[in-house]
Amino acid sequence: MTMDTHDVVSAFLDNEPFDPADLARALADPDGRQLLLDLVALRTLVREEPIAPAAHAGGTGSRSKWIAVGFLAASIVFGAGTAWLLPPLLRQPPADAPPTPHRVVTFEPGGDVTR
Amino acid sequence: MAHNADAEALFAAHETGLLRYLRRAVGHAETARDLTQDVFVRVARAGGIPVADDERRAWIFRIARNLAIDHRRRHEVRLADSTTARPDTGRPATQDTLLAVNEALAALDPLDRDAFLLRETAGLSYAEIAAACELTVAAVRSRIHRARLELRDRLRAPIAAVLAKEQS
Repeated sequence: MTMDTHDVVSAFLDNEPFDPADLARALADPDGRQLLLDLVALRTLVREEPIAPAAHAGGTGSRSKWIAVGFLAASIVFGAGTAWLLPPLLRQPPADAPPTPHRVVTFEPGGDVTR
Repeated sequence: MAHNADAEALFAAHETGLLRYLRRAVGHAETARDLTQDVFVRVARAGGIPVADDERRAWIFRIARNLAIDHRRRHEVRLADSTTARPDTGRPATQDTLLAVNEALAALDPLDRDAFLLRETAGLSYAEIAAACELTVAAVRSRIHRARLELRDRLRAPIAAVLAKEQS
């Protein structure tokens, strides 16, 4: 089966099976040679890497970056919250301990104890 | 869950191809990086990894393609805006070329574009692309062929510039 110019040039570019005689016939034609050159150039264009990161194109930052920032912020909040809440909790008296006095009365010699 | 070592080895072998494919498929480098990570997560969570090499490649790129399709669906309007809003001046020529390529790719039929990109950016064979896109090999050949002719037509100036640079 003979392949047409486009098929055989594509097969040659894509490492797919083709008959070398078909390729020779395709490349004997100036249009066939131009097609091969154009498709090689097209491949170069599609594989080209951008010079600058394309972050400007979509207007969104990296999700990974935001996840890292979120994790860091959560760690800081958690750390601060722990530092704030933990000491009072650790100082809690046992259940059978006497209550903390609200008023301290001191007796002074000669003072009026009925007041 | 896939065995971690298998998943990592598979991912490492295809990370560059995945990134290159996804960058063109979604037209955005940062998003492509995020989606590449998502591919890894899905591979790691998968119940099993295909044994044969060609099946593995088709499988991992089918995951990537599905993620790209989901992403395009979610961001259809915004992507369309970003590809059509093209400034006339103040941008280096190479950036213009990249935008032109993205625009030309965006104008293709989605399945033609995927078949073409899987071949050109990831180097999958027609059989692997057929498995990844659930097409026949003949349909893959035809879609890649159609995509190339359309892109050749739309990108005449950048193609001529590449050829001129090669000759100089």
